[in-house]
Amino acid sequence: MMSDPLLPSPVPVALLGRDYPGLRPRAVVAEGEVVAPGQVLFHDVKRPEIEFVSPIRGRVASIGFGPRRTLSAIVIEPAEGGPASPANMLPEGGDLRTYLLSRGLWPAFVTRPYGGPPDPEARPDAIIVSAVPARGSALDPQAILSDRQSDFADGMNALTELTEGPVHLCLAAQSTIPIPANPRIKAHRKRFARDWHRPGGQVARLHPVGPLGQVWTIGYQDVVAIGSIRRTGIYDPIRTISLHPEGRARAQIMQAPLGADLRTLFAADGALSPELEPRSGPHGHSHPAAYMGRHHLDAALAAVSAPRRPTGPQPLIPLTGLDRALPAHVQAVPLMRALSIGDLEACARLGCLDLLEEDVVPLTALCASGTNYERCLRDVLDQLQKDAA
Amino acid sequence: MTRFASLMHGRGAGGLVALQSLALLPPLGVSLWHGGTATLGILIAALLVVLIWDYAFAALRHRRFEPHGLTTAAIFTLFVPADMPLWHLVVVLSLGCVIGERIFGGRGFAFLSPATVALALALLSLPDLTLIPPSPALALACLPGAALLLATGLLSLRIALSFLVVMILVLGVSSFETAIILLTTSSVALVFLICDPTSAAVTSWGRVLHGALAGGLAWVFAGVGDGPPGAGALVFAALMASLMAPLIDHIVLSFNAWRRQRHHG
Repeated sequence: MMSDPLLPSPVPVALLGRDYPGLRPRAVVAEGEVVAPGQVLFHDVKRPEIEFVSPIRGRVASIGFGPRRTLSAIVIEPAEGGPASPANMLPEGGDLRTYLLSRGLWPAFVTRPYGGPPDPEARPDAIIVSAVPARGSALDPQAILSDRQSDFADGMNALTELTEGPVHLCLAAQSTIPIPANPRIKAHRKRFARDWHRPGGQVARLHPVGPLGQVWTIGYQDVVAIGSIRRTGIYDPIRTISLHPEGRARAQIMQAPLGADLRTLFAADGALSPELEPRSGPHGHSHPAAYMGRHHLDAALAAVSAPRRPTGPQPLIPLTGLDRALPAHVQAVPLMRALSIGDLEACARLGCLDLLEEDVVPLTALCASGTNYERCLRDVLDQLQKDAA
Repeated sequence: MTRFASLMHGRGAGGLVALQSLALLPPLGVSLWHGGTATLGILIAALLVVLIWDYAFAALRHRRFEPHGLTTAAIFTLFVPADMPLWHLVVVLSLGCVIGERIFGGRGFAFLSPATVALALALLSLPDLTLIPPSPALALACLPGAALLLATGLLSLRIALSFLVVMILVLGVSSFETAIILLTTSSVALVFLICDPTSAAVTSWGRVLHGALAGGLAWVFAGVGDGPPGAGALVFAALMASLMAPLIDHIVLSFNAWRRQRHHG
């Protein structure tokens, strides 16, 4: 039996529907079954090639569905036993795309426009790798990559096989991460771009998405996981994350599996209290969550926020700070007006195809009207996707 | 930023009115100090008029009463002379409140500032009326409010700076004294009328153009002279710039869309 990759202390994990908008799962495991890390849990009904795998060895505690049989959450609790982890290598001359699809690494990509994992046969115009620490994050990509440089380089080279276009590597201004010698890999450093630390801003600056274009984004630790599975054949679900409990100056950096239970992580740290709730995502773009998001490396513990429910229709006040919350070329107030009335044509013209829910989180927090722009954007993107199909 | 977000989030125009009222307190204090009981009388009458309209529309629409007219009354008081006949005040302020704001659904839904509309109507229909230019003390008292509005994102630096740059260029301001005179005369109108967030342009370049347009118009309305514009010219410039703001935004957005389309071929 192959041994599992070196896991930190056991922690429950979940795969969340929130990370895969519109995904309808067909489970291949049953509740109560013990699964191995890297073992397939379910695949997408509409695109069965895309497999989703378990990050840990554990028992499938629950499979929850949302509206229209979409995925709500699959929770796995640590347990012993179960089958061996899959460890098949990519055969010599084998198709990398099929390999990543079947080994559960495909959901590491996020497509723009529309979000979610890309279509199995899609070829993006560009792939954008983000190795810029989120604003306020304690993580240092350079330190994390320092002892995994060969896996990172392998992963970056692997990405060039998935697109005919360039693979953009986004770096912090002072970063000295070695860049793999491949003419298709282009490194970018921007010092004064205020939106450079977010995938939304990187896409907007390097490769804005037109109505017919497609760009994939992926995080640097997922690129390492791709390099690692190509070298060893073993799925690497462990990510270096940072936890920011409120009122503490120092964040805690730790290793945790994808989708880790945040209450367990914070409880181990002794930071949990009833007035505080865990939030997943980078500062300013996070949302209350029980489990870490698939693409998140930052979590915080913050005072419980109750959304204020205004009585009657409330106006949108055009604060100057709204523009600073979005990628530079998107004008916030016209977009907010178009989103709140669901004007598809105007939204597309104003650049909403470059955006995903997480990019507009600050608009909801800042807007006096109490509109939930994440939900508005998701509705508009779903509708535009349906119209485009 | 997050603290402030929770302050404004979901409060509608209430947060805007509260912060603007706070910003208006120092200039109002100076104005009352100068004008004495006569100005106090104007302020009380103006407050009564706007609050009655606020209450009437809230009752007719079955909404909660919200005193959004407070800022309208305060700004109006800063401009009009203390000897303004009461019935003049009632008529122009009522028209300003109702056709400038209330018929559109209230603060934040309208595209004009009710104070600007009331003052412009007063200037148009009352030929004997001259608005009082701000004194240096009044202009100075606007500074803390301007800083507050700037910090909370309710005053756009782009609008204010482009207005001042255009003014400096067209007036040929070269000495420190003339710059101070320009800042004094435009203080109240710039902070509370031209930069009013609900009636100004909302795109980045739109804000620059809005300020520049207001500056250019103020110069034209003041008679294309060398002196700084009077309060009347500034009010009309603010009104015309507000009327043009949606067009300015439309032009900027069309240009952006064109550039985006060209980029994607």
